[in-house]
Amino acid sequence: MTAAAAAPGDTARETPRRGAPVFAGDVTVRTIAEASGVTTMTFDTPPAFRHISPGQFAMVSSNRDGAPLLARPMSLIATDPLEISFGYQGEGTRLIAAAEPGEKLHIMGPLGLPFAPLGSDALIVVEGAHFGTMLSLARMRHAAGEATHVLFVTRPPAQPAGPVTAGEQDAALMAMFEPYATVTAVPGDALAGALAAAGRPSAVAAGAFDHGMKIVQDWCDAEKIPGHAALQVAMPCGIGACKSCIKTFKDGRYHLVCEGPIFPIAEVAF
Amino acid sequence: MSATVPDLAVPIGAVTLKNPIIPASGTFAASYGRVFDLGRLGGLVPKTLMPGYRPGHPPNRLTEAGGGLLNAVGIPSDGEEAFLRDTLPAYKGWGTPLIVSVSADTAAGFAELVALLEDEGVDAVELNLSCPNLEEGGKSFALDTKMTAEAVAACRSSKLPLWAKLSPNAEDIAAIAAAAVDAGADALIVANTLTGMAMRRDGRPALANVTGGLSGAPVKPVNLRCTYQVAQKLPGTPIIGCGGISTLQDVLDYMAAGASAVAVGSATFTRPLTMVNLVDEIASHCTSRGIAARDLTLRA
Ligand SMILES: Cc1cc2nc3c(=O)[nH]c(=O)nc-3n(C[C@H](O)[C@H](O)[C@H](O)COP(=O)(O)O)c2cc1C
Repeated sequence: MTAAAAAPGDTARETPRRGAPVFAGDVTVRTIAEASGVTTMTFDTPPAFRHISPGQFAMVSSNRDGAPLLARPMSLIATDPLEISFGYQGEGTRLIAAAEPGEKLHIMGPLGLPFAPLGSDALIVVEGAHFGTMLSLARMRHAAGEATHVLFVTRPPAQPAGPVTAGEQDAALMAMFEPYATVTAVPGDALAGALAAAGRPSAVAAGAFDHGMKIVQDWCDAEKIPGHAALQVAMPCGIGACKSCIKTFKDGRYHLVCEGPIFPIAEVAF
Repeated sequence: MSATVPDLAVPIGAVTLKNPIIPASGTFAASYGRVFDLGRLGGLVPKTLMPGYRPGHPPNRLTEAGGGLLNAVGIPSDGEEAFLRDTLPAYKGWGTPLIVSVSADTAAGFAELVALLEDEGVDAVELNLSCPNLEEGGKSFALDTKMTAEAVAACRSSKLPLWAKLSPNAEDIAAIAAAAVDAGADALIVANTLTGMAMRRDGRPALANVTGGLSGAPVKPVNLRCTYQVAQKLPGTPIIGCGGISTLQDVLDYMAAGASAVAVGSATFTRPLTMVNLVDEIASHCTSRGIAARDLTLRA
């Protein structure tokens, strides 16, 4: 895979209606770039994807023989051209990453409700496995002239991350955020301290492992700062039919993550 | 050459489906109306309604297994009021019949749900008999002729057509089917998922519920056999075949086994346009042969 990643496009700031049309069909891969186990792909952009916002996603699957039955949810990083970026985890993502330019992948989207406006000075808390949603948010905010500080929660460096180590992948991911935000690397056990030193942002957007999300939730609660959680679980259908992508909320009930995936952080039980 | 429009309508007792393709309950949501025109389907079927609030099973609820899907969702429900207020309206106005699937853990519970739907503009009720019967030690209604007959009979005072959904786990599915029809079922859905299990690499069960229902391609030979056996036993009863349908050939196979229509489930998760594509393919198939869709059903 040698093709270069396309230049970043702007993610249009438009809140789609819950009932906006959703495209389903084959889409041609335009470019593919892979580095440190992170694959970035652009596609010929179907009209339905012209107005997307950070937090939205698409269900993507390979058309190759032997591909898993279920599509994988992918954050939409940018439109024009449509872009996704992901680290591969299992057979589904490995086959998507193996696509060649010109190959058709099956895509359904855009799906999900995006972030509400986060104000002029937002803090993003993100960890390697959740970077897609937050990268699109950082890029959109940068395009709109808004300041963003990213606390990048690093994984134990020797831990495997696809074909590389988490240390190598985290460094590559931080470099992807750097053109758009101020980035601070934070080991997981130092997150509470890093938040205490982060000042008073206008809002927080967090996408991390549950323990990290709980730390962010408690901090937002104590500091009375609006917080938004980008949830990530396995999503078999992405559109609310299979009722399987659940997360427990503080009301004691399961909620479907695909009906977000962005929720007020105060509502989720971590 | 002038194109003839084939007659795709299929009668299922008193209900005429627009064409032989309907969704399988639990694998479909009105939100697919954002993806394609739901009015193109033979009918619409929401997820099974059960009485009261039910959280459903904890995660993990669904996994890929054995070339199909294994699920133990546990029929979460927000209760009857929320169903009538929020769910049902989203399925109305598409210009195609609406079949509501219900289940309960007692025969009386089935009857109460059917009574609730009596004047709600529903075209038929599907009785999902795979639920455990709490009055019989948790054995599934669909595994027992007496329990099946009791559940159907409890609902029979309804004016609505009753479609009984059977289980491929039954030892003698044709006997269960006959019991359902004797008790007043107008049509049969053959069939639900097959009980199975999958393990994670660490040796723990993949589903929180440990066992689940297998669906998709691996169940087709089983549910096709069930369809054939039921059709042989009950030549006058309309059957909706279900299990592992994703291609035109799958539809033709079920209709050759005696089904009048088919329900498509797991394939919609893989390719959301599967059902509308099948409608188009059946139309071309019928046009090229100068036949109506109902002619595809072969009965002894
Ligand atoms: C995730 C999932 C949820 C299901 N939920 C229900 C349900 O609520 N009621 C029901 O009668 N069947 C339910 N089923 C069974 C399907 O309606 C269908 O009978 C079965 O999946 C076989 O068809 P398929 O192979 O085309 O999926 C469910 C199946 C799946 C995969």
